[in-house]
Amino acid sequence: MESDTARTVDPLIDLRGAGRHYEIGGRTLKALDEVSLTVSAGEFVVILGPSGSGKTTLLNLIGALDTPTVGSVVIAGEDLAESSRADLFALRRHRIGFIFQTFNLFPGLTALENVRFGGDIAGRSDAAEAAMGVLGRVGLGDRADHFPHELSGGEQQRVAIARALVAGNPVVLADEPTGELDFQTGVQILELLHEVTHTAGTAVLIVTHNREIARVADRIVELSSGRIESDRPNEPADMAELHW
Amino acid sequence: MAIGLLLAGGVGLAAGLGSMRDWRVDSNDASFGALNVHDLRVQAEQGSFIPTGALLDAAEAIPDADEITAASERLILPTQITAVSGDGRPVTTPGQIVGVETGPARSVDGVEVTGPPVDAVGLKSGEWQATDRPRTTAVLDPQYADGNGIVPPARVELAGGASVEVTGLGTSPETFVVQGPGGAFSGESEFSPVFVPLHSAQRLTGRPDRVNDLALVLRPGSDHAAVARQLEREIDRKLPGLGVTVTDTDDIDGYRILYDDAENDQQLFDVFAFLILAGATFGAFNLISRTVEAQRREIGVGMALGLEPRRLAIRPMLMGLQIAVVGVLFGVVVGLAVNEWLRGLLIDQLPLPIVKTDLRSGTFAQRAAIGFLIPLLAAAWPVMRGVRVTPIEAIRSGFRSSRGGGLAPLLAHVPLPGGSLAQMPARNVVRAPRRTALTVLASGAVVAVAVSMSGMLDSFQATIDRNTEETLKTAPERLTVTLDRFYDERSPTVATVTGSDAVATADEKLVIPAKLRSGDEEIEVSLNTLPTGKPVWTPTVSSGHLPVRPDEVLLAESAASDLGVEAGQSLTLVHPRSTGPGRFESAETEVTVSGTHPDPFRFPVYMASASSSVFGLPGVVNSLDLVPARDLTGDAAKRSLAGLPGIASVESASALGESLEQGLEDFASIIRVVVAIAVVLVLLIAFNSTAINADERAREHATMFAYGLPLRSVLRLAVVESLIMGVLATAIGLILGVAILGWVVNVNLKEVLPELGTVTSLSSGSIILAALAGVGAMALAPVLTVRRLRRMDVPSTLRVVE
Ligand SMILES: Nc1ncnc2c1ncn2[C@@H]1O[C@H](COP(=O)(O)OP(=O)(O)O)[C@@H](O)[C@H]1O
Ligand SMILES: [Mg+2]
Repeated sequence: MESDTARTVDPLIDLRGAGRHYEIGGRTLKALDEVSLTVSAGEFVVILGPSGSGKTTLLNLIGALDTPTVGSVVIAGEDLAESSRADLFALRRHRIGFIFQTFNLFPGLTALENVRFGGDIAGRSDAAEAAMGVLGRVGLGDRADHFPHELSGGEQQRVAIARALVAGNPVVLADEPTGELDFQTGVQILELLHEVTHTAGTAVLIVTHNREIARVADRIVELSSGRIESDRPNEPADMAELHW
Repeated sequence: MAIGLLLAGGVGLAAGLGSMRDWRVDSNDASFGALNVHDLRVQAEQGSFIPTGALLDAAEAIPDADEITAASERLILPTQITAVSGDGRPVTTPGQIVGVETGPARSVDGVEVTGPPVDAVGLKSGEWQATDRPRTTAVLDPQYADGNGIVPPARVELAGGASVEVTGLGTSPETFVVQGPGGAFSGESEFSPVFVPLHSAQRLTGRPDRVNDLALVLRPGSDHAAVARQLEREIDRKLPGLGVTVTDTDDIDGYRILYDDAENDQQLFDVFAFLILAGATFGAFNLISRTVEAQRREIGVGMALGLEPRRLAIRPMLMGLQIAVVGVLFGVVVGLAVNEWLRGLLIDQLPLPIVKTDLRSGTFAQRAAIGFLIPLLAAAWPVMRGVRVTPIEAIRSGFRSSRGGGLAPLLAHVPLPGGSLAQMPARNVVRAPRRTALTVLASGAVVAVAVSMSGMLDSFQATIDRNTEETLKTAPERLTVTLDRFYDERSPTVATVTGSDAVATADEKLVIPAKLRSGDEEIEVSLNTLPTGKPVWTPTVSSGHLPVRPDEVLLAESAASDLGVEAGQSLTLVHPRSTGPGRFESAETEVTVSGTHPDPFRFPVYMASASSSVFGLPGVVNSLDLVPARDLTGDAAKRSLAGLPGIASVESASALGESLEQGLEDFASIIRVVVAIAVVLVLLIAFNSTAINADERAREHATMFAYGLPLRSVLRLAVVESLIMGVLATAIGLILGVAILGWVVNVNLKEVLPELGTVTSLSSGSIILAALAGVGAMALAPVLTVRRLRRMDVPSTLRVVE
């Protein structure tokens, strides 16, 4: 499968002096200065930083939702600067899965259909079965026919995780995935995400400003004012010991 | 702004159309009043004449003579008018000599009124110098003069060769609506009254010192029926043996038609105006409430911050107010424009001397008030719902994205083939059922207007086509010749016509006006005898058989259904019977229905040629059906026949249908404007609806883009969703439209045009128009959002935390 070959590209994510600058009223605002960062398959990275430090901007560059104004972003061997609009859309379909702070499930679709959407657009012919399988793994096998409004926040985010995973894409990006959830649920979500991605060798990047949550990471990258402050491996803590 | 325009269209059309009845009733009142329409009319039996003054004497002798405020004797007789038309050709048409008292002219409501004190003549142009002229001066009907290119002063010739000088054009209450030989359907240019001074009429018709008619005006509030009875009794006593009929104002065909039409047309306009207003209302309500709905979260935040609900309501209500003001302002502009256009149409089309089209501020104010309230209500509704939600609920993130799924769960169990994308459009349609219903109803109502309006035109056209098909089936060039009086079928006059070079074959027939009665129902008909042998033309028999015995009649299907009879049943024929040269009496004969014919006109009735004895006219004819010689067109034959002696008129057999078709043109212009407005309204509703949809779905669309779903797929989802609504709207529009069409044809038109058995018809063109308006507009509207979608800043849209 395509994503398996993609997974063998190393590093999977390669930022070389990538930055995103905005020109506002003649002044240059460096949302992201010049960042160099590589992430390999199977890594579970938490990006930590105060509000406004450029976390979301970084994630958007990796997710090909935004293009760098300086430097380059290479995802699975593909240099985004040289990619067409259509290429970027294809890259997102086949390489990347998104998890959002506000879940962004489609309210007209059931949990199963929402998950299936991820498989459908990646072109998986077995999207229906795959969706059921992943929904089972996030523990919602019995809620498949429920609509988003019938699910709790935590459940909705689990559906969103399933949607991001079902395509089997090598990169999963999550921007403040626990921001809408209570601490306990947030921890459970991250634990689940860790668990279901670990075995598949998926590279996961999670953005948060919550230090406590960052402790589940294999690696912690800290941002400040658009620059990387630190980038260090981390020994995942026992989830049970986490507290605010 | 667009919402305001939508409302303006609906309010404006409703306001503009709303004035029609008032205008027409006012015009009727003013016109009939200014010319002193008669309250009672005494008519001598056809062919009977009374010495001048005798009828007046009788009227003065009745017990209630005090009730009579004005009376005038008249001599009214049929004639033919030969005029030299604008292009130099002589035109001969049937007409009526109306000999009346003359008097000084006076001006009423800007109209020059002259002639008798009752049923006066209102001059449209020229004058009536009735006295001291060597030649007889006459006034003709303006529409007749117009149609035949006659401009006074002009000279026209009457039956018998006498000529009169036309010095003016004008009408009297009895001739506002001129009824030619084809009843209400004959063209206005095919018949005219010729107003001449009474003594001239007596001289022209060879009836010196004789009259046959008396018109009376009674004191307001008097008992018309009682006076009528006294008149009949007194005339019977004073003039024994003279048969008279006394009729009142309602018996004037034109009077009834003018008032009934004003009422019936307004009903029609009201239905359409209501539908369009409803469409605009649904649309505006929907759009405004959706826009305000989108601000509910802000309202919630505001409430959490402890702001008073009243202050929170200000912004959305201001928006509603803004739309209301725009809607009403433009609505009044649209209404005035519609008014202006209708005013021109009325002045052009109403055959009345006085046309009143004052601005109906009441109607405007009422419609404007509706147009003003709708946006305010539409804004208030979601605001009220917004302030009722608890603040916590309102500010909870994901409040909107996770809100209820509407009826979507219902559809979850009927999965459509295909993946998650295939499910989405239908689910989105049912997700907000109330909103969907409003949008669909709005466009459905407007589509219904377009459907029923164009269906009306189709129905008329189908009716005319059916008539043309029936009248011209075997001989497309067939002509109908009307003789100027009754002739023996072997007379030289008839022989000259049938023997003319211009004629290939000809059938002689008798055409007699009569009435058919069955139970309480009575209708006016035109009896035609069918020639024996191998006729030029015979009616198609749709049930039963052709009449064989003298007492059998073949009726139009619509006549049979109006009278409630079918083949084999009997009914009463009320008809004139000749009692001697030029003398007729009214008689009743029991006849049997032999069958029906499919001509949509209700009045043609066919009888065997042997029936002429029923009318006391054996071997007598007054009309001919003929086929022109092979190398002649109908027009050429018409010209060469028109000069022959004894011919009153020569017409194509389908002349009636043709004149109806012309009349249809005026009406069609109104309909086309309304249909055009309806189509524009559907477009407005569709575009507004999708624009708001695009706003509301921005987050979903951004999510799709993030997942790499290409623009064209996202667009396709929107188009399919809109298309489903379009199909629903069109379906509702068609069903509603057909129902309205049915009502129009079977109820409204039945009253306005009872003589016309209108065929309900909806052409494929009209259905395509409806589908284009409904489905097309809805399906295309999302395409207009493509720029917005393409330029969407996906990260920012996703970043926005609700
Ligand atoms: N589209 C934009 N235009 C201008 N400034 C932006 C835009 N997007 C982000 N920024 C700015 O860039 C900085 C980083 O933003 P962001 O990456 O969202 O931070 P974080 O996610 O860490 O809170 C902020 O100061 C923000 O205001
Ligand atoms: Mg952020």
